[in-house]
Amino acid sequence: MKNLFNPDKRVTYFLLLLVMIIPLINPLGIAIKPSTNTLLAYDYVENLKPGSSMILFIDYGMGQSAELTPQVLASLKHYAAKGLKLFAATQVPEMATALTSYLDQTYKAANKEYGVDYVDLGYFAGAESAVGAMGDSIIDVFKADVYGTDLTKLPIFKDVTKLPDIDVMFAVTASGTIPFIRQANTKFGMPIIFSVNAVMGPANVPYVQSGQAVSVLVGSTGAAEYETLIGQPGTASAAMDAQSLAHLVIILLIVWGNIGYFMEKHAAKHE
Amino acid sequence: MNLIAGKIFSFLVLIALSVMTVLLIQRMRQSKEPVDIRRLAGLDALEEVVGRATETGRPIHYNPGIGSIESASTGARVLGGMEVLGWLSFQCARYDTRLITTHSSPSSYAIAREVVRNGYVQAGKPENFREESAQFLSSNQMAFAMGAVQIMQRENIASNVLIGSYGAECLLLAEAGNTLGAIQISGDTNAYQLPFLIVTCDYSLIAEELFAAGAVLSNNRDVYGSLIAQDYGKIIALVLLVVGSLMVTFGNKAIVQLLSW
Amino acid sequence: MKRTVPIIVSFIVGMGLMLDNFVKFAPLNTAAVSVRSWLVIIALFSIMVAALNLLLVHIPRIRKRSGTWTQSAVLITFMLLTIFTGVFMGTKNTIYATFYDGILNPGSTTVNSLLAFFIASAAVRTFKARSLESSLLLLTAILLMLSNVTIGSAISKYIPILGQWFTNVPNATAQRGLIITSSLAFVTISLRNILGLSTQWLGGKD
Repeated sequence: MKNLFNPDKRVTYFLLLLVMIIPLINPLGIAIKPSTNTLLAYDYVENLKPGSSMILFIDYGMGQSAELTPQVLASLKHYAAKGLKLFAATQVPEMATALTSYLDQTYKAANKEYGVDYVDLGYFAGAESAVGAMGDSIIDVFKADVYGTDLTKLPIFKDVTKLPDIDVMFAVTASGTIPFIRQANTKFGMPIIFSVNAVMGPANVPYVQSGQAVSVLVGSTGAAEYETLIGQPGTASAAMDAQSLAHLVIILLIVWGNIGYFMEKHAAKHE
Repeated sequence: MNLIAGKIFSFLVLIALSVMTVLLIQRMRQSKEPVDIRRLAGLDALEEVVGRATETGRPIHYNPGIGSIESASTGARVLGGMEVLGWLSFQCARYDTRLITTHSSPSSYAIAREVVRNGYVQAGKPENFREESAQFLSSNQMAFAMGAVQIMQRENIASNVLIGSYGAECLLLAEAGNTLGAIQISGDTNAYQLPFLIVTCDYSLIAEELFAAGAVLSNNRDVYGSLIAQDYGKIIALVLLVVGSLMVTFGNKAIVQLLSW
Repeated sequence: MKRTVPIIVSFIVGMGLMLDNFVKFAPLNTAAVSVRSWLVIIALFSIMVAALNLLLVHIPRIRKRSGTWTQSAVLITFMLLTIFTGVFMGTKNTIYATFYDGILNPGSTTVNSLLAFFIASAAVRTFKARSLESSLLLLTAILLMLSNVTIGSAISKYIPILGQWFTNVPNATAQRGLIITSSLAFVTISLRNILGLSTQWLGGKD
C-alpha cells in the first residue's frame, strides 16, 4: 500500500510528460480569461497617446526565454499597433541577438521605421548602475545602437536624451524588479510595467498596490491572457491547456498521497 | 553640497540606524550579560550535519547560490552565508570531515576559498586544505546547477547546506540532495525561492534568520549587537506602519509626507 | 597591516557609495560613478581567479586519469576553445556562436525545464496534511494552483476570485513583512562589513 500511495518519482514525471504532450498535439481549447493584472497593463497602454515613448529592458537569459519571450512578443505587437516609440535594450549579453529578432518579428513586421519608430540599443553592461546612469543620459551609456549608428543622428532621440524623457518602462525580468523601481520609479516617478516569472508574481504584488509598478504580468499565463486581449494567440496560448492539465495532475497526485497518508495513520492507530 | 530631495528622511533613518548599531555593539562588547536568542531549528541541525558526515565518512556540500558579493541585492545574503561557511569549515577541519563548496560567482568563490582555508588554519590543520574544497563551476546558472548536482552524486554527500542567494537552481540542487538522502539545511531571504527551499529541505532559515545564523554560530557579541539594532529598527518600522495607517485612514497624510521628505 | 588596509579601503569606498545615494556633491557623485565602473574590472579579475581554479582542479585529474577525468578533459577543452575563439576571433564568429547558441543556450533551456518535474515531485512528497497548519497550506496551495491556470476559471468562477484575494491580501501582507525585515537586515550586515566590524570576507575570525 505504501508504494501505491507513494509512487516512484518517475511515475510522477511520466504522468506529467503525458498530460503536457497530449494537449500540445490535441488542444482542449479551455477559455483564457484575462486577470486583473493583465487588464491593468493592457488598459494602461491602450490609454497612451500614439507617439508616446516606451523603453523595453530585457533582463532574462535563455533559460527563462520559454516563459518570458511570449510576453515580450505579445506586448511589442500591442505597442507597435498603438504607435508607441520603442527604445529596446538588454542587460544580458546572450539576449542581444534575440532582442533584434523580437524587434524584427514585431515592429519591423508592422512596417515601422527603424530609427524613427524604434531603436535597438543592444546589450549594456553595468545592470542597475547603468540604468541609474541613463537617468542622466541614455546617449552617454550607449553612444551607438546595435548597428553602430551614432544615437544623436537617429530621429527617435530628437526629444529623448535621458530616462525621465520616456513615458513608460516595460521591464521583463527574471532576476528582480527592485533595481528598476529604485532607479526609475523612486527617482523619477516613471511608470513601470513588469513581466516576471510565475514564481516572482506573488512577491511583487506589494509594488502594484503601492503604485510603484503599474502592473506585474506573471509568467506564461499572463502572456496567454495578453495574447487573448490583443487577439493574436501565440505560443503562450498554445501552452495553456498543457499547463492546466499539468497542474491538475499534480493536485490529484497530492490528494492521492494524502489519502495514502491517512489510511496508513488509521491502520497504525488500530495496530 | 546638499541632500537630495525625497531622500532626506531615509538618510536620517540610516544615520540613526548606524549610530544605534554602533552603540549597541559597543554595549554588547562591554557587557557580560548572556544573550537570549530564539533557537533556530536549522542552526541546531548544523551540528547534526557535521556529525552525520563525520560518522558516515561522506562529505558535506555547501553552496552559496548564484548571487555575487558585489551586487546590491545579493551581496549581503552571500556574506551571511559565508559566516555559516566559516563555522562549517572550522568544524570540518576539526573532525577531518571533507567539505566541498561549489560556486557560480567568481567573487563569492574567491572569498569562500579564503574563508574555508582560514577554517583549516584556525583548526591547526592548514595542510588539510585542498583546492577541491572550494570549486568554481560556471557563471551560467544551469550549467553551474548541473555541475554541482554531478559533484553531489559522484561524492555521495551526507549533508547539503544551501545558505546564500539563490535563483531557480536551488530546486535542482535540493532535489538532487533529497534523492541522495542527504540532510539538507537551506537559508535565503529571496521570497521567490523560499517556497522551493522550504518544500525540499529538512530545515530552512527564513529571511533574516540567515543573518542571525552568523551571530549564533560565531557567538560573537558584535553580531549580537547588530541583531538587537535590527530588532529596534523593526519596532520603529512597526510603529510608523501602525500610526501611519491610522492617520491615513482618518485623512491625515503627515507620515506619508514625512516618509517622502 | 594585511587586514587594516582592506578594512580602511572598504570603509572609505562603502561610505562614499552610500552617501552618493543621498548627497548632491559633484566630486563625490563623479567619483562614485567611476568606482561603480571599477566593479566591472574587479569582477573580471575574480573571473580570472575562478578560471585558474578550474584548471587547478581538473588538470591534475586529467593527468592522473582519476575519477571522471574524461569529463574534466571535455570541460577544459571547451573552456580553452571558447576563450581562444572569443578573444582572437571575436564573439560573432561561427565557432563561438555555435558554442553559445548551439550548446550552452539549448542546454540552459533544457535544464530549466526540469524544474517543472522537480517541483511536482517535491510537492507530492511534501504536501501532507499532518497538522492544522499543513492542512491549511495544502488547501491554499491547491486553490492557488487552480486559480493561476485557465482550468481554474473553467471549474468555477469563484476560484480566480479567491485566488486573487489570497494573493492580494494575506500574501502581500507577508511579502511586505519579508521585504521590510530583510531590508533592515541588509542594512545592518552591510554596515557591519563597511565599518570593519565583520571581517569574514577577509578570511578571518570576526
